[in-house]
Amino acid sequence: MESIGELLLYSTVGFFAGIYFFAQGLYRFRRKRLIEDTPTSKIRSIALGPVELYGRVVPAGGVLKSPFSNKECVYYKWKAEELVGGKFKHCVTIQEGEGKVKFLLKDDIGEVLVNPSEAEIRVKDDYEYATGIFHKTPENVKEFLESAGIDLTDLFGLRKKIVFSEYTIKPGDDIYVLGAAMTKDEIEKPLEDTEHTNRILIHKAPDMPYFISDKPEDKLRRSLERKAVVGIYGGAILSFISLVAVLYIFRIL
Amino acid sequence: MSTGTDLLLFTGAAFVLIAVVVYFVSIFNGLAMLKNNIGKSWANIDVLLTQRADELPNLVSTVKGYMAHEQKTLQAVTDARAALMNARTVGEKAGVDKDTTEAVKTLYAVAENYPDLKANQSFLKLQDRITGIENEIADRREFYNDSVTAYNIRIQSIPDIVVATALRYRPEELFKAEEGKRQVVEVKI
Repeated sequence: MESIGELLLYSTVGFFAGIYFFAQGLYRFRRKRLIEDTPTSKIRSIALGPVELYGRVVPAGGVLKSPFSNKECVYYKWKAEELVGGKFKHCVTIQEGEGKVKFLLKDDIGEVLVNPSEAEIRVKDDYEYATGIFHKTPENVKEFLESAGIDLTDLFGLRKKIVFSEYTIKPGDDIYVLGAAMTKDEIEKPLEDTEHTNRILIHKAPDMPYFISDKPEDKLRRSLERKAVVGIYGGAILSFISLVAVLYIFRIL
Repeated sequence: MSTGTDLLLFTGAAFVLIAVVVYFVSIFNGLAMLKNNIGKSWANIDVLLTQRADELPNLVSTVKGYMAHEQKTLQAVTDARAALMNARTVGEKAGVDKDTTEAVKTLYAVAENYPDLKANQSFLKLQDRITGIENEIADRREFYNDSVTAYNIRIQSIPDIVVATALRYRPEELFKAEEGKRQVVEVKI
């Protein structure tokens, strides 16, 4: 450590980061309990209100094209991260974006329309590309980056180290949905396309989480449990150690 | 003790306290949600049982003209409906529901012997409607039983049992016919 000032800075950051991780851990713990306590419904017979569903994605009309891999999808998210820093290299998100369209969720015996516009979507990345001196940028990626206004070169004309990731939900993917089954009349904002005549659709309800994941319920629950434990214990320990360091610096301890 | 030690103890206690409060609040909310789910899913089954019971007299009156010699089959459906209307508890309704489903299935099987009846549009529509309702009952029974099982496990597990006992939450009944309580519907085809 170079100076007391630097130690103080890291300790302060560590203290607040610990509180953040602790809060995130508690949030994940509550989400895990909610998933455990909500039984999975059969799509054919979903009742209005909070629902948990598992099924296969089928386009309800239009589909999107993902920006980098150019795949047909109903959801995509892309992220451009630049590798920065001298001694402590880290990635900083320089730009991100997403696209969503309504889709049908289908199980063995039924289907329901899902409007993902206000959903928190967690899917694993299925495309990653990094720029660099020896990496040739694919044409479609180059075109997309130009339209998004991302410059791949630095002040000296050298290529920056940028990592592009893409997350998608494609037709045929199996997904988990925790949301609310509502009638079309209950939704404040009317749906733009009314070609799908289902009376019920999955939507965001006030004071209720709306969550979509590509993991099945059991994996999702275990993943949340792990993250909750790490967040709660890790966050508390990080904050505590950081506080000890701050108190030590000010010679209070 | 120094101010620094006090501060550390206070911070440690604050983390523990927040974690414990959030833990118990989530237990309380989880149990309340499960209890509400049970009430709601039971209401969803009950409404379907009533809808099916309302369709049964129409079914019997539609087939009566064709199946005049199948009085026992028709009587079984009528009796099952009457029992369904009189059933009060979840267990009673579950038993009678199973008897009704079997009586209706038997009626459909017997109807196979009457080609004129099989071609009757009213009968086909009623058959579709009742089968649809029965499928929905089956799906919702699964959902209801999942909700009850999750709730019953929760209120008997530590530490949820502490909150459940304080709130006087009791185990709920599954929607499942008890073999001993079921009436046997004997139909001669």
